[in-house]
Amino acid sequence: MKKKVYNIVLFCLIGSITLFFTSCYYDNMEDLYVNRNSTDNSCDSVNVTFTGNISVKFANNNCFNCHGNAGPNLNFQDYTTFKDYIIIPANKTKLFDSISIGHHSALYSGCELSQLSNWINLGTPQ
Amino acid sequence: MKKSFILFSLIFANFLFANAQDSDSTKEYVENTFWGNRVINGQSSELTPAGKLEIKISHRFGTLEQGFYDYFGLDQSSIRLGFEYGINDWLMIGYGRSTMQKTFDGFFKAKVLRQTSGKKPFPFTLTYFADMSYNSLKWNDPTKNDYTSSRIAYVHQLIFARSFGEKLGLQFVPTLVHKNMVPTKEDKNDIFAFGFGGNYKISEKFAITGEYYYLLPNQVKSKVNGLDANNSMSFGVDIFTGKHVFQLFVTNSTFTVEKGFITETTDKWKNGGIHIGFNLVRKFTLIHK
Repeated sequence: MKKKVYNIVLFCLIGSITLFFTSCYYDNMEDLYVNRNSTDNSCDSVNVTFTGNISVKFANNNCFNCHGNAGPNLNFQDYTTFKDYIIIPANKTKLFDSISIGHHSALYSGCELSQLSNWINLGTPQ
Repeated sequence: MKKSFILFSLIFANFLFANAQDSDSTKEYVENTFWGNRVINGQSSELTPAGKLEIKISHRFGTLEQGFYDYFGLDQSSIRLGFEYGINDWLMIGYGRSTMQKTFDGFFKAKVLRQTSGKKPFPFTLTYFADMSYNSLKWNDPTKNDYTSSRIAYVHQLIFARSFGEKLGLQFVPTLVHKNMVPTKEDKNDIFAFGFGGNYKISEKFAITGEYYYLLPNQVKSKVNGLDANNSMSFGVDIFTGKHVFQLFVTNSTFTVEKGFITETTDKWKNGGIHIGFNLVRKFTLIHK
C-alpha cells in the first residue's frame, strides 16, 4: 500500500515536470529576426529628420494604422504630438522597449533604433 | 500537450505494469543488458540502481587528424560532469554540465517494460528517456534579441533493448530531438533519428561496444559551424572493475549530450575526424535498499 502511494506521488511529480519540459517553440532565425538584420546600407543614423526618416519608418511598419491621423491612439503622424510624447523619458523607454522586442508587426533593427535615439539627441528636428 | 499526454500514458503504463509484474513470482527480470547507463555517447536501456548516486566524467579529446603536434587531439578536451541518481528500480534522474556550448542538461529515464525470462517470458526492455538542455553561451549579437526559449532543446527517446543470452545486448532507439530555434526556415525544429547500439561481453571484465545514430535526411539543412551534420558512429570497450565501469572508445562526435551528438556531429570518420574519449563513473550509495 505504501509503495502504491509512493508510486502515485512520483507519477504526479514527473507529470508536472514533464509539462514544464514540453513548452516548446518552433522558431527559426530567419523568421524571428526578419526585420533585424542591419544589412540596409541606406540607414543613416547621423542626419535624421522627422519627415525624412522617422515618419517614413513608421509608415513602413504600419504604425499609422493605430497611431495615425485616423487611428484610435496617440497620433504619431503629427510631428508636434510625437515630439511632445517622446521627449518625456518614460515614454521614450516605453517606445524603445516595445519596438526592440516587436510591437505587433513593428520590429526595429540596431541602426533604426540608433536613428530614433539620435533624432531625439539632435533635438527632434522636423 | 500531445507529447505530455503520450508521456503521461507511458508513465502510467509503467505504473500499472510495475505492479502487475510484482505480483507474478514466476518471472525473472533479465538484467545487465548493458553495463553502464550509457552505451557510448547515447543512453542505454539500463538505469542507475535505486539509491545510488553516480558521478560521471565524460571526456572527448580532439581529432586524431591533428597529428603529433597536438598529440593526436589529446591537447584539447570537451568534458561533461554529470550527477545521476536512481530514485527506485524503474526511475532515474540526472543533471550535467558540458563544455560544448556550455550546456546544462537535465533528464529522467524510466523503465516502462522489462525483458523477463521464466514461464511467461517477455522479449524486450522498453525504456523512456526525456532530456532538456540549455545552451548558456554568451549572446554576442547586440542587433538580435536573446530569447531564453531559443537556447533550449528537448530530446525524447524510446529505447527498445534485448539481451540475446548472457553475452550479447542490442538496442534500437527511435529518437525525437526538438530545438526551439533553428537557423533557417529549411531546418526542421523536430528532428527524427534512429539509434542502434550494442555490446558483446568477451569476458567478465571486458565488453566491446558499438553505437550508430542515423539522422533522417533533409532535416538539418544549414551548416553547423560551416560543416554539414553527419551521423554519429562510435566503437569502444567497456572495462568492468567490480565497482565501476570504465568506457574507452573512439567516436566522431564531440558532444556528450543527446541534442548535440545526434544533430550537430560534424566530423567524419574517413577524414580522420575521430575523437578518443572515455566515460568514468564512480558510484556512491546514498540510500541502502
